[in-house]
Amino acid sequence: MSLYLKSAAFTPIENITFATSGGLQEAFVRIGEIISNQSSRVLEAISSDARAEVDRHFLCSTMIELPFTAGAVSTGDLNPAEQQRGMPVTSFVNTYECASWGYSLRYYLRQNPTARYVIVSILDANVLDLSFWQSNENWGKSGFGLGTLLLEVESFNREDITAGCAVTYNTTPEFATIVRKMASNGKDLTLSLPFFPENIRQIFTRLLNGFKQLPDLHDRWGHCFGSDPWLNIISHGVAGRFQEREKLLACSIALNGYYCMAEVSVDQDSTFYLAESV
Amino acid sequence: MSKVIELSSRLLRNPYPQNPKLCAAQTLPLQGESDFLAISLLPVGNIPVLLSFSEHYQLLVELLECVDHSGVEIETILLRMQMPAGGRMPKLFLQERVLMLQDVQTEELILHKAGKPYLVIEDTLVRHPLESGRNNICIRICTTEDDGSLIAMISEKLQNLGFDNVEQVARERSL
Repeated sequence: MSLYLKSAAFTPIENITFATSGGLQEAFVRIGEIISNQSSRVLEAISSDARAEVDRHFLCSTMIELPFTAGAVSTGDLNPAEQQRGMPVTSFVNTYECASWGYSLRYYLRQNPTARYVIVSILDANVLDLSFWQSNENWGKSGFGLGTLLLEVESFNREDITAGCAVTYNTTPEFATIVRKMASNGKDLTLSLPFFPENIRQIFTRLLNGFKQLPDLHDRWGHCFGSDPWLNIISHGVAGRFQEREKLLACSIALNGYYCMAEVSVDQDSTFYLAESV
Repeated sequence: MSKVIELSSRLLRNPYPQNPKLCAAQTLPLQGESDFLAISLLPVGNIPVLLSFSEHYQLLVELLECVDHSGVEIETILLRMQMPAGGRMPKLFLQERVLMLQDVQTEELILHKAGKPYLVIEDTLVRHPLESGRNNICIRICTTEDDGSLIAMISEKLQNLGFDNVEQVARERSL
């Protein structure tokens, strides 16, 4: 196993909207502070020398797009210069929806196969407070927040990160079949899957029956987009459930059929934070 | 010494005027007063919508095909891509050598400083009335190879697709 989850954090974002912040830009300034604080916290897991080597930060999202697309805010609003001192360069990737984190990692590790660390954040917050994003028939109730992962690259194998797209438009069963293939390779992986309500979850229950997997936390958190597999790992981590080295397959699927998986290991030295909701 | 060639132009008309159009425009379902209030906060520009999502992707595919046909080796391609996407992206955009970002400039600077060959397509083609943009395109090519044929192919392609005269600027790669 070559990718090790050194540290990971999640902050639920339930109350930051244009209305509660006095405007859209103001809402993004508040979110920018959370990104900066959470990234700093996660990076505390490594020495200052090692921190200096971390040269890139990918900020991924599924549902934060309209304020950027309409030109109401810019990526600069998320990364005010005064908060960027000592922080790696941040690139905003949302094109691959819930699979953006996997595509970013694939790109970065292909470019930098000898990198020691990479940091990825996944941000989904309903700043416009739109009903569609609160809940809909595609995934039930949504959950919002910011997750950040610090991965240590012990030695990079291309197959540790998978980023692809479904061939059919029956995407969830196709995704489950791909996960099944990956989990059948004798590596003793525990699956960490996206959170879905019961009617969709059945696909996983039926097609992935018999594979070790973390429990679905849709009832607790709702569907938190690309954060789901990581939030599940963090929830288990803060409860002290990783006492031995464990190999996990974190998996995300997007509405348009993009999917990604990362094979990561965790152990008792991985650091996890689950913050109070803001 | 490698150099950066920058090609820029502005879309003047629909790129595929002879093709029948599928009415595929979708908007987020809005419910209730608060949704409409939130959407009304977003700025609206006056730049015309000259192409659909699928025509935008087709246009980018044709530009990327110029790279493959030219024989110039480009290891990395950055595309500026705004969301929502209006459907699934072409497979060509999902290749390992491609990264799509909201803002390409930070990633481009890193490639530039690292001395890696790359191609960037940064467009602001408006596909939806809520989308900001100026219907511009800027293509930057950085390679040590002879890219004359690629530049000629891209320039011709842009003009055939309804872009204005293509401006070309060359500068040495500065690190």
